[in-house]
Amino acid sequence: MVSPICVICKGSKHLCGEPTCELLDSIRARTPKIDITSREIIGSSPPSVFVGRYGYPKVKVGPMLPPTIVPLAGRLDSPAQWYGWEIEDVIGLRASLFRTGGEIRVQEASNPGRVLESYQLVAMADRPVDTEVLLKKPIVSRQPELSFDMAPMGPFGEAERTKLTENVHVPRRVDYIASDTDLKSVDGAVDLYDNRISPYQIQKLLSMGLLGQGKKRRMVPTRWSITATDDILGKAIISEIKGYGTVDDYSVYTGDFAGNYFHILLVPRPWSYEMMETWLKGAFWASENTILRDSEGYRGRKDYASNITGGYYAARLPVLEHLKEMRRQATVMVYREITEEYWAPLGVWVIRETVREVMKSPPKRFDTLQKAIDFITSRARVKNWLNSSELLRELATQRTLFDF
Amino acid sequence: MFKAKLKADVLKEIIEVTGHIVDEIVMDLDSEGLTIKAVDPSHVAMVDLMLTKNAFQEFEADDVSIAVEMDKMREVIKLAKAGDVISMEHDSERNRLIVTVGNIIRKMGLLSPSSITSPKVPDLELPANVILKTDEIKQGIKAAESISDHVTLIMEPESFSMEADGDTDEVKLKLTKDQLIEISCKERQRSMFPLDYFSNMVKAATNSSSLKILLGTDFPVRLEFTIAGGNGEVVYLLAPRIED
Repeated sequence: MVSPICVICKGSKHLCGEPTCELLDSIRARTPKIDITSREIIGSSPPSVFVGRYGYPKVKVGPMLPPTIVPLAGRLDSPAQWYGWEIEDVIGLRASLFRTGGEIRVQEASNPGRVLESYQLVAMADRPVDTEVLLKKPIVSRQPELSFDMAPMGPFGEAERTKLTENVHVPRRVDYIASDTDLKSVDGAVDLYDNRISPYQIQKLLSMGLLGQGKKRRMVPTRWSITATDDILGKAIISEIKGYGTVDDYSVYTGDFAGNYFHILLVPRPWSYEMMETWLKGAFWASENTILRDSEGYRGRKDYASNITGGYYAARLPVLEHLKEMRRQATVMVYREITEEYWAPLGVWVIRETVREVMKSPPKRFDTLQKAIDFITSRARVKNWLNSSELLRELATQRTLFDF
Repeated sequence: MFKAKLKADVLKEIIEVTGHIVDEIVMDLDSEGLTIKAVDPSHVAMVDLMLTKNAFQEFEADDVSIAVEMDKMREVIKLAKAGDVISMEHDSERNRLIVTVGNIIRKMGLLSPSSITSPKVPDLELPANVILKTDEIKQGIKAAESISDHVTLIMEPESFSMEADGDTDEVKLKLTKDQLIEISCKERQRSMFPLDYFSNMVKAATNSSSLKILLGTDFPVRLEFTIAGGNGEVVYLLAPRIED
């Protein structure tokens, strides 16, 4: 039964009191199962790693791999390539990506043993890594995992032994930053980003405890590291664009993917950001139309965007990348509507990649805020969306000193 | 040329008064003293600060503008103990400010003053004003902060009030004529302001025992108070919110 708390919980907080999410389970029941009947898997890791959160600080850690050596293994863990796909195709693809490894304390990243070191090497790679894993027991009759923030992934099998069977290709800058044990993790992440290492790889490095000052290095559960990376890189761009002038007019960017409809408004004012999302009745998690919002002013926010959670940071990054490219700052409002077409949650990459695509399309330009708002309202599924926006109310009512 | 010594407390006041408005300030110096004018990035709040040379232990300056980052000034003030005297000297060749705190010398790289726009202070005629005890309004703000993000100021011939409306709760502070130090108001004036800005301004005024507030309906509010033991003046302007 979908209840009003589901959209707040999104299957991640056990708000209903059940040990697993009934909604997610019902979707998982419809997803393909791939059994691994032998104990041995030989496959190409895309490369990909997983760090769990249960049992923290002792968590499940290890490489992810499909049960075969496949060409183009890279696409198994490249969200940018999945933009435009059918939902079932993404789930089908990811269901074959099994999680392996074992339980390791997150602190071990400050002084990794041989096993963890080989797992870390997978995170450092920028090409698929052929990997041999001997499982403790076969993986039979288990469903893939689904969550709102992480991409779908296959079940976990505990490894007795893991061997990388080829030389791993590591980008020089990644090797350099991972070896620098005096550099703070934030500075390391930003350096890599400036050196054109993708946010997806930076997230894996952060997750495997390969960034930061030596003794402080920790592994970070995958789902936390996704948002941490979006936040760290976003903040770095925010401080950069504050040195630029504002955009010239009111522009609205629109686009959609997998039942996620975006309207993104840039306003010629100093940096600030609001995201609102409407889960339409019948959309996953939503028993009734539900509008959520979070925002930050020029000076940013100190607490976590706890209404929208990870999606807030995942949408902010690509908008900021766009502003940085334009060398402009703006007040930004991201409005997302989610319809029943989005029948299974795929992870926050959906937001990141859709916003990235949306910002590439030519915007509609307006000379007043009201015209821009009217345009959005004419297209929005929920006509009273505007009422929930504190930022737009602020813009409409707050005068500046130069109006006098 | 600029060379001065001042008490750490005075420098701290300068930072408290300007630091919540901007991250970078331009100090305009001349033989009479120091002025700082700054507007926040949203153009909603402005500060106009003036210190006479009497606010300093020693002061010497020709016409010069120095642009500093507030974070660096905060680092300096953290090094000072109560009662310390801080000395400053402008090294114009290398565009640095040489700051001495106790036995520490910090050579502070400066920004280019031309990179920061100096705002023009709008000329406003505000019909009503009150002078009140800073502590009184500070209490009112404390009460308002938990329930709303904006605050309404009202002046009437016999009283001053401040109101905050939340979704479910309301807070009202009312001070009658005998509770005010001074009031001058012929007709009722009423305007609404963003509470976070207003709150920062009032908090920065707490070193002064009294605060003058000038108000006009749907006009910016003007706050005036003294700093540096009466050797300096601060003017704040804050733009109103106007609901349809």
